[in-house]
Amino acid sequence: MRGGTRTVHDNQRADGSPQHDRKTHLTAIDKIHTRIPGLDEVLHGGIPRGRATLISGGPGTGKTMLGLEVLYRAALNGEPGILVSFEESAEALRRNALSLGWDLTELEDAGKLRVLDGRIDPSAVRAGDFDIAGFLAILGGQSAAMGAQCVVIDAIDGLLRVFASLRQERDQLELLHRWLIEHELASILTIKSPNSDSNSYDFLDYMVDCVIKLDQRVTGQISTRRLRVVKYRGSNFERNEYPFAMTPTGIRLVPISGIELVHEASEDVFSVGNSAIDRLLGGGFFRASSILISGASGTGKTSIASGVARAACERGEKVLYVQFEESSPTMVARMLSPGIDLRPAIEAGLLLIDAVIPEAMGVEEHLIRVLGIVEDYAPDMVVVDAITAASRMSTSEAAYDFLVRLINACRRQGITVLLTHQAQEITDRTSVGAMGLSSLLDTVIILSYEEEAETLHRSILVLKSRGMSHSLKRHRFEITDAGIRVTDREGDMQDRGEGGRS
Amino acid sequence: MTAEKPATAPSPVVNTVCYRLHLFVAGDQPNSRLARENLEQICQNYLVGRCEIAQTDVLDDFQVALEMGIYVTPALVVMEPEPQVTIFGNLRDTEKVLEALGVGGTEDG
Repeated sequence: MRGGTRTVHDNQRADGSPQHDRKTHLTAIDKIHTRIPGLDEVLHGGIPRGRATLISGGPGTGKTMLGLEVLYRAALNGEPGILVSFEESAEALRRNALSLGWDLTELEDAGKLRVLDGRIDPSAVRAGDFDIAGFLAILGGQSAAMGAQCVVIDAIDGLLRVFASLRQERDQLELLHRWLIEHELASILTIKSPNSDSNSYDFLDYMVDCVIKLDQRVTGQISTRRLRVVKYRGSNFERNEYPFAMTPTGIRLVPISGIELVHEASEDVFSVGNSAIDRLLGGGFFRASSILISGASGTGKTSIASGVARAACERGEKVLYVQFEESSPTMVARMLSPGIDLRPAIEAGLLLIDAVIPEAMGVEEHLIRVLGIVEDYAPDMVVVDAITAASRMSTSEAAYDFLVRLINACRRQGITVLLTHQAQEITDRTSVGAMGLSSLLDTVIILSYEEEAETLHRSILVLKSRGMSHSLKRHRFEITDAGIRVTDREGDMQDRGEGGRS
Repeated sequence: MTAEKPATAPSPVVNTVCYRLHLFVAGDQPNSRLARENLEQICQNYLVGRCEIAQTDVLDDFQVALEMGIYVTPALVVMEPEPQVTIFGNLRDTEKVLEALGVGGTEDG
C-alpha cells in the first residue's frame, strides 16, 4: 500500500547525493520514487531518472497536484527539485499546497524546492524569431545552484502557446527534451488534453519515456478520477486504469493488484465470541481471513458481527466497525437488547465505529477514507456492515471494486475482514454469490428465517469454512437478551452460546 | 542595467520621451546577434540621444532573467516609459517594435 516499497533497482541515492552510478545496472532503469501511495506500484518503482515523463489530462484532473506532489515528497526526502509554472502564479500554487498541509515556502527556504513563475505576459509583442534559450538558461542555472534532479513543467502548452506555429512549438519541444536529457534532469511535463486519448501535441507521447494519462468521469452523479500509464520505455508497469483520489493529504491510488494473489493462510484460529457458533464453524475464524455473514433484514447479522467484535476487543484486539446502515449511538443502543454492550470496548479505544452514509461520496473516496482509517488506527479486524450498501455509492461494479480492494488491502496487512450482506428475501438462502465475492471469502455464514408450523424461526448455516470441518446442517437459533442461543432442531446439538461471553 | 537616467527636468519639451530598454540575449545565437544589431539600428534611426540600453546575456546571468520572468529570448523589455512592455524576437519587424515603443513611423530627432 505504501509507496516506494517495491523497486526494480537498488542504486537509488538514499541521501540525495548528486551522483548516481548508471553503469552498475545496464538492464534495469534508474527511477525516482514518486512516494505517492500506490503510484510506485503501478510504475514499478517510480518515474525514470534523467528522462521525461508526460502527464496529460483534462482540466481539473489533478495534473499539477500530481507533479507537485512528486516534487514535494522528493524535496522532503532531501532531493531538490524545481517547478516552473506556466499556468498558475507561484503564489497560488503555494496556497493550494498549503491547503494540503504542504509548506512549500519552508522547503524553498531550505533550498530543496523552487517554484518559478514562468507565466508569459499575454500582452507581449512578437517582433521576429525567438526561442526558449532564456528558459533553458534559467532551468540550467537554477538546477545547478540547488543540485536539482527533477523539474516539473506545468503546463508545457502554456510555454508553447507563445510560438506562432505548430512547427515552431515542435522544434522548441524537441530542443527542450534534448536539453533535459543532456543535463540528466528527470522531468515531468504536464499538458492539457481535451479528452483522455489525445492532446494537441500527440508527438509528445512518442518523445518522452513515460506517459501517464489522467481523467475524470462522472457515473451516477459521482465523479471518479482515474490514472493510466500508457507507456514506459524500458520498464514494465501495471497497465490497468486505476482510480485515485485527492485526499486531504495528497493523491492516493489503490491499485487492484494481487486479486489473484494467494494470501498466506493463517494458522491462528480465534473464537467468534459464541462457543456454539465456534463449534458450527469447526473452531472459529482464521486470523486475517475474510468472512461473510449473509441474511435478510432482522436475521441477526449485526448481532453476530457485534458479538465477534466485542470478543476480539475482550482479547485486547482493535476493531474498526464500518457501519453503513445506522448511526453509532443507534447501533450501540440496539445491541444492548441482545446483551452485547459495546461501550466498554469503545471507551477502551479498542472499538471504533465508523458510521458513514454510502451516498456521501464516491467509491474511491470511501475506499481511501476507510484505508486511511485502517492505516491510522491499525485494527486487527475490520467489519463492514453491510456491504450491500456499497452498491449505493455508485454502480454495483464499483461496489465490487471497492470490496475486492478493501479485502485485499486488509489481508495484505494481516487484518481479518468480516462483512455482512443483506439478502433480499427473508427466506433467501441462495444469495451467497454475495456480489461475486465468494472466491475471496474463507467463511460464509447464512442466516435465514425458516417457516415451521406457521412460525418463523431463525436459522444459521455455515456454507463454507475453509480449512475446517464445519457443520453442514442448518441450525436453529434465537436472539435472547443474553445473546445468541443455538438450538438444534434434531436435538443432536445442545450447545448454548452465551452471547459472546465464551 | 544600472545606467544613470539623464537628468531631464520635467520640462514642457515636446516629443522627448526617454526610453529605458533592457535587452535579453542568449550568447551569440543567431537570433540574439540579430536582436543586438536590429536594436542598434532602431536606436540610431529613431531614438538618438534619448535611449539607454541595458543588456543581459542569460547564459552568463540567469538570475536577472529569472527575476524579470524572461523565459524566451531574445526579448526586449521597455522599462520606461510606463507601462512596461515586453517584445519577443530578434526585432526584425521594425514596425512592430516602433509600435510597441510608441514611436511614430517617421524618423524624428
